[in-house]
Amino acid sequence: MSKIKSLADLKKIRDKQVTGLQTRERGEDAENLVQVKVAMATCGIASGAKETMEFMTEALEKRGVEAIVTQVGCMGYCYAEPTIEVKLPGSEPIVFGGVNREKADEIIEKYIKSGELVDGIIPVNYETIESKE
Amino acid sequence: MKEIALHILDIAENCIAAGGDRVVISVTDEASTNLQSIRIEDNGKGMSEEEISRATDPFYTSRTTRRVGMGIPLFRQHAEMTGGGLKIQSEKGVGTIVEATFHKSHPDRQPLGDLEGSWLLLVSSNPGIEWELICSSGAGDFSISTSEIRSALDLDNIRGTELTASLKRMIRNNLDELGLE
Repeated sequence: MSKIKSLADLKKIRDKQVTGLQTRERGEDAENLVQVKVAMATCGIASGAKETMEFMTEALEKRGVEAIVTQVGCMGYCYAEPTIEVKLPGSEPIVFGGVNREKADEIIEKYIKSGELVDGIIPVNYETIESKE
Repeated sequence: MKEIALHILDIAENCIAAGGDRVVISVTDEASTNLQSIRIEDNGKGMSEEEISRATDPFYTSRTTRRVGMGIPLFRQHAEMTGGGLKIQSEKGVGTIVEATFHKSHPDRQPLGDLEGSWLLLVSSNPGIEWELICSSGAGDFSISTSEIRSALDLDNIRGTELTASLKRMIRNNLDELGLE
């Protein structure tokens, strides 16, 4: 493939592959989707939250799971970073700690796909920075 | 923090929290002075004089979930390790500019790293903000913004693995050409 240097180059390529991008456009009906929040404060980023988030976004899309992956501030579990909160439709959110690539993969395969709990849950009532203020 | 791109991601999180709708990230290599400067500018709520002076204190934070705030202090430390430094300009209700300078050839300078990845992560997860990335070096300059991408590609949302991957490649090709590292 020739080098993409500008948005014009990109547009040419994109015109050939429009499919796949449309899936998310419909219904931002968050309640019916899997919601993943990645804690992305200094502590999270320093422990690899960026990679976790990139992996989550990509893997969920590739595996056909309709999900919204967003970032949040520090949830207060700096010792357990990277942490993510996963909310399946109709259930209470669960926070997982130490979520590297392997753990993220396990969470998708076991918890998100079949509701099976996996190690690494942070078992507390917590408040996100948004809800606390 | 292993790379400067992660600091950028981290500081930009503060911009999001500041509630503005525009964030400009610039990376500039100044060949004549051998300095690399990283500037992150937002139009959020800004800080008072006192908040500015405390922002570089690791034991100060505006958040309530914990009592330390390491983002800016770490960024400053890494800049100072190379003989550079960090400056904050801010005005209440106007916005904030955080600018760090690094001596490029200093052995302790971290690599710039995955700038395109950091930027696109910010872009795709914060669609309500206009993001701009400006890069320049002696070899030329390159800039990209979310409004530009949206109008060129006729999109509402900038996300999806394929689109992100192509945008990353595009930005990387330009960064390589500028020799930013």
